[in-house]
Amino acid sequence: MPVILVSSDNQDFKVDKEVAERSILIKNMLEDVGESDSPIPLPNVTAAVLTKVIEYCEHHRNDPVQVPEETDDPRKRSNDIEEWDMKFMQVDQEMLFEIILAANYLDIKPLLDVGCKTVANIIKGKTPEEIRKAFNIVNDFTPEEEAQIKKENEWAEDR
Amino acid sequence: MVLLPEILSQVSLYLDNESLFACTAVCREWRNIFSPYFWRDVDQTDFPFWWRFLKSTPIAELASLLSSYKNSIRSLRLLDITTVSAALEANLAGIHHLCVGYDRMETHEDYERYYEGDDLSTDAVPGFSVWSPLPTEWDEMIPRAAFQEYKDEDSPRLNVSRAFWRTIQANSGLRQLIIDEADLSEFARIAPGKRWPSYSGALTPAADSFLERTFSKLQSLLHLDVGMHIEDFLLSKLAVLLPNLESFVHSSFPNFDSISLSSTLHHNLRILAFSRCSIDQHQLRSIVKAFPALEDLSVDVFPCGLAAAETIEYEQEGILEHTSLQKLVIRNCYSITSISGVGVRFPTARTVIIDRGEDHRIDEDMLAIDLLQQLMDAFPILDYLEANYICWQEDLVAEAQEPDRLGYPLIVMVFFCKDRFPADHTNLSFLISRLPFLVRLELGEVGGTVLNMIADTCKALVYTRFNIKGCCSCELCNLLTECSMLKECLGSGHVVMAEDVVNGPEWTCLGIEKLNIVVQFDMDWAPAYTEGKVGIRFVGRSGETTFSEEKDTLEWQREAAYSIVRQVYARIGRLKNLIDTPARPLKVEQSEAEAGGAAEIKGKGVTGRVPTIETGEQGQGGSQGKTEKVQASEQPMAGEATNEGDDCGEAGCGEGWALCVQTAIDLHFHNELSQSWNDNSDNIMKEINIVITQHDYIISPELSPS
Repeated sequence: MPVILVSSDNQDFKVDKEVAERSILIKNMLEDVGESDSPIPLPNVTAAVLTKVIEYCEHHRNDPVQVPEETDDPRKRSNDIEEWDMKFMQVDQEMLFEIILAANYLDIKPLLDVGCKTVANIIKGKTPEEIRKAFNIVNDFTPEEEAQIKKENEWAEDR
Repeated sequence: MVLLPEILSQVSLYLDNESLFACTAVCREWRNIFSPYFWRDVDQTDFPFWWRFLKSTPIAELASLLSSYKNSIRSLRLLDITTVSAALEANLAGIHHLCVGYDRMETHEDYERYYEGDDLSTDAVPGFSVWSPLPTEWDEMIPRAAFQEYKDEDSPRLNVSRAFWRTIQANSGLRQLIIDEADLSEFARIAPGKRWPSYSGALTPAADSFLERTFSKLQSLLHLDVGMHIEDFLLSKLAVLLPNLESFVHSSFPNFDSISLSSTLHHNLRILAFSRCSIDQHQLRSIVKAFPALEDLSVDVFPCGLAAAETIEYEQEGILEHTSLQKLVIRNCYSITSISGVGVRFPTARTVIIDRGEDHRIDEDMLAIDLLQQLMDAFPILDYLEANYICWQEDLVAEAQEPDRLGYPLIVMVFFCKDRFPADHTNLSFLISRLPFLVRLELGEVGGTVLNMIADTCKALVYTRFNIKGCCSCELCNLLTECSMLKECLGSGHVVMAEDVVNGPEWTCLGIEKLNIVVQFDMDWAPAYTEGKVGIRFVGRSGETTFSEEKDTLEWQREAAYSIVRQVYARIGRLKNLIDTPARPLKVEQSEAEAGGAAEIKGKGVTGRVPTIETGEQGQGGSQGKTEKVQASEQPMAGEATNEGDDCGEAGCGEGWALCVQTAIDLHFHNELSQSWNDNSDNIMKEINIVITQHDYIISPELSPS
């Protein structure tokens, strides 16, 4: 039975229940509502983003449910992204962030993970200045903080 | 558009330390978000980033940094005493993992890298508590009397020791505590003339109550690995002090009292390792009694066997059963008797690794039948056995009574018995004859009898590795025929004669993926297989193509050779799953053959072979069997190389062969005829290699039968 999702800009999306239930938020909603064909409004997600998210859920509709990873040793987490996901994530930064936010809101853990890994891969190997540039962040440190950071950076530098 | 803090927190999970550090310097918001993640895991073993950071930061600054992030720090892995002092100064209280020590120090370079200049006296910071008298209120918590006298009262070294214990006491949430104190003799070897750092200090007998007080507060502790020679004390009190502990490493000379140890049971310890010294059989028995929940036990066994008089105690008690052990690792074990002699049974153990070590001080030879019986008695459901350097009593055939059951459930056996007994020892054959369920079998050197026994018994064999001594062409073909499940058959000396391949029964191991094999071709056998016309190009050592006058007289043999090559190829070509694993010495030929999409027949002179002889091919002389006579003049060193090659280690000599066949089939023609077309008797080409790519049935247009 298909489910109708309504984006923030009032577009309807008809998707299989199995696909929609990749989102834990929607899954829980459907469980609460019971058998009903009334559309589900998603006021935080635009049509453009929802299209992408549905594309992801369609592709991963048969994936097994993810087992939560050990949280005790986070550094051991793998940064690998499978090929399809990698291609899927080749979008502009605005869209990347939108997808991550939507995944967070809709509670689609695997998509959120892929998004975070993608952001992590952007950060990797960059200097603070390069990171600022990449994400359009303003350096708002006070001169004192700046001095402390400069010192720390010297210690961390390869000499 | 910006990312929410909770999303940045998620991102932090996928960042390495260096990137995390960069993130802390981006803007105020990012600094607040990422700093706790960066400081969560202070890991000096993370080379080079953390190591460099900790080494470069002035100690006072480091202490203040650690102090300002003390609520974030969960894990501390520190290597040198200066960093440890800074950490001690920071009054940390929320650590879950504390690990200090020398585990990475193995060479003098390591010492230079990690510890040079690691001397408190040169690094003194005024006002740092470890360099000034400690407050007197510490005396109650960490009594001065618990530590051995240092030369100068309240020296920094003693203060560090006491501050270290203070930190342990302050972190009652500790889950893992590892103190890897340097083995003093080792340290003296690596850094002669240096003083060794010590964190924990040398404790006196008066420390007992202090230790009891300290450890009884660490109820979250799961893993404990302390040096300091206090393991005996801790081990005997473990059930009382740390009933929740799951894993314990004992790394100094064990001298605990076995009777008092087994008086209180510890029901949660799953892993126990004696990492540096041996225990005797009494102690082993008491451990089995005291830790009924053990799953993983690793011990050195004291070399001496149990004297008869001492067994009385066991006779009264009978055989002990330990019903949760899964894995047992025994080092310096002279035989399984060391275990079964203790009177212990492990009905749940699945994995046993016995390593006699290289040092054969005592040879307690035993018969395979005894070994098997003892294995069956002590480990009835074992499925993984790894035994290195087990000795066999030579020439003694197993005459003793057969064991009760014929099959032992072992599915993996790794057995290295190199050069300690003849390759075709009856004991090894006997042992294998009782192991019908083997899936993986790794052996040292084997001969034909053992190979036939494997083929007859181990029908389920999937992975195997052994080095063949002597010519075992038929036997190897037999193995490939009988063991239809084979996926890997690796090792050195795997030579089969073309006639055995062509005339023998079909190989059934069609799913095989990795196969080291050399197909050898004896020209004397060729005439019967003449078929069609073949042109063969001989490529001389200098690279030029030579057709000598002997062409005509050789013609029929060349034709025969081609025919046989085709048949050999057709048979091996059925092994569709062979994986292209680069074989070192064959590389060049392989790529040539692949590039040309065709086979190439070329002579290979002594020059070509010399490098591979030097790499210590073993079994070379022997394995070439029928052509040995011809080879002898060419490779006078081969015989000696056999023994020396052994010392390169099992894997080394297995791969050293020039003649691995994986996607390419390497056919060697050994024939005296080749002698005639190059008369320089010492440097003549005695081999012609035919290299055929796997999926190319037609060897070459040029070579195709007309």
